[in-house]
Amino acid sequence: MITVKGLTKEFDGFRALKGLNMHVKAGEVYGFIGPNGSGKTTTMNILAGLSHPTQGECTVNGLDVTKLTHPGDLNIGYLPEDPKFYPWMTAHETLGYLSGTQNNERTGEILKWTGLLDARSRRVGGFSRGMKQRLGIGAALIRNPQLLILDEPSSALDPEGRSEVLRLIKDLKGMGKTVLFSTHILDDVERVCDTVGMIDAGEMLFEKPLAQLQKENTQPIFDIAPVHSVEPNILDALERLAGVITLTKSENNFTIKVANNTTSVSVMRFLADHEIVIESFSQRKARLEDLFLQGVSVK
Amino acid sequence: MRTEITKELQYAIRSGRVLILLANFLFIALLTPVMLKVVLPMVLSGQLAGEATQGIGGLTDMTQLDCIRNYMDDVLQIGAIIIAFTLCGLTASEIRDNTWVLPLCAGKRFGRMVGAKLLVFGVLMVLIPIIALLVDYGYSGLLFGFEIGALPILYGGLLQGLYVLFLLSCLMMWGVLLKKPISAGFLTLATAFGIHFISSLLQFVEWTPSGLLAHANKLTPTLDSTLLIPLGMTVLLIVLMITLTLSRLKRMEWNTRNI
Repeated sequence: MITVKGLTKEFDGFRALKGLNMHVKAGEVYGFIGPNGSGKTTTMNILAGLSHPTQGECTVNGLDVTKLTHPGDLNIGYLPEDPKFYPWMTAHETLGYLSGTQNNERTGEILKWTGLLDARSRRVGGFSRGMKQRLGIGAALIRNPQLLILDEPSSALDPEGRSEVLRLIKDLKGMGKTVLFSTHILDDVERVCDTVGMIDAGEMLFEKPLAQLQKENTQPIFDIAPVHSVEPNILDALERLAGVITLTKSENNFTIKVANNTTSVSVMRFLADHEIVIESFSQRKARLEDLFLQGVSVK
Repeated sequence: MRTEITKELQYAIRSGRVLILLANFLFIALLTPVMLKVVLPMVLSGQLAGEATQGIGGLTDMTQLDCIRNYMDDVLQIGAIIIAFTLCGLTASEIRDNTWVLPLCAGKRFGRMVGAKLLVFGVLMVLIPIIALLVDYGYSGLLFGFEIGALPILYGGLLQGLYVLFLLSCLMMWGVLLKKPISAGFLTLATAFGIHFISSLLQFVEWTPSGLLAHANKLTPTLDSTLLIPLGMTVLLIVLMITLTLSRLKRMEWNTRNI
């Protein structure tokens, strides 16, 4: 559905994308993750035909985006990070305008699906952020496209709004649509995605099916909270300990990824030998967040 | 195209743009006869009190035709400023606020979106000067007595409306080129007044859209070569500006983070 090879984008000498590669298969929900400013929106703008790449190949829906003359030719649904509607239009009028027809049946279906049927006659200017996001997803679906590109659809929403947006994405998957959505809420990715791609500083760090990613990262993780701060040289020594794969430092604690459970014994012995008093020592499985932080710190 | 036209009509009405423009034109149309009939003689007699009042009669001896011409002179000077700043966001705001992103992705074409704006606001901006001129004609007729028929008024109003179409195209072009509503408004005024000033100075008004205003002021309906030149030039400029607008839109990047 989407194939990207060596995608580069420059803005006034700044390289926002540095040879990005990406592949989205038909029918899957692809989670596009990365820290703020990593190039997610730039990539999505190019994929939606709204921006022109500096270099590289980019095929969406079988069309070469670099040769596109109008974004509408792609026949995809696109939801920008901050969808802008005409505040003086009602939800019903907005969908009617975007569909280009007076097909009340279609707009009615979409309003019902997005849970906005009761608000159809209200002006969009008075909508909450969550309602606007839902209307935006409805607007992306108005032409019944096979591919939807959603830029941060659940960000900046309250838990209820987020869960409603995730419900819509799951529904889209059920309809057989291909969804590419960007986010920095990793929990959302774990809940709805089939494949995950992580971008940082304009480069793809990894792109794998979520199940494979979880399988590859079954090693246990220890979150350790010391009472007092630990000397950097001690942490370096701990990182070199046999069985320790990675050590990530944060403000008041550190996280250790180990090869297997037996390593926990040597980690505890090391802490005891160095008289490090700990507040908590907990074991858990690897989350996407760990891969995200690990990926960013490795970069 | 129907949905695009409906959208522009809704915008024109709900944003109050039409009301603002109509109110301004009507205000000037109603104020001019009162100023000339009542206020001007009062001011002049007050200023010349105690002196020879023989000349006052000549100064205040206005007719309906004088009144209408006075209005036509004033309305497009003040009106151009009002139009420029009321409609300065016609294309610039759409780009700056990213409101064209969703329609573009939904398959809307630039030609249709710009065409609908030009059509709706063009018709409104032709109608508003005609309505205002008819109001001025009626009111000045009541105050000074009717002197001419309604046909020259319609003719004058139509030419003024065509000039406003030129302003509208100018606003849309500068809006797309600059992406800033206020700057688009200022540059439109600079373009319109600049053309008027330079062409008056170098005596080629007939070759510019300002020539339409000179013809409108004559209030004598004719379709001779002297009218065809400014008419043709205005149409040519409108076509050029709209072509430039569309060509720029097609090369533009969308959904940018505008500051």
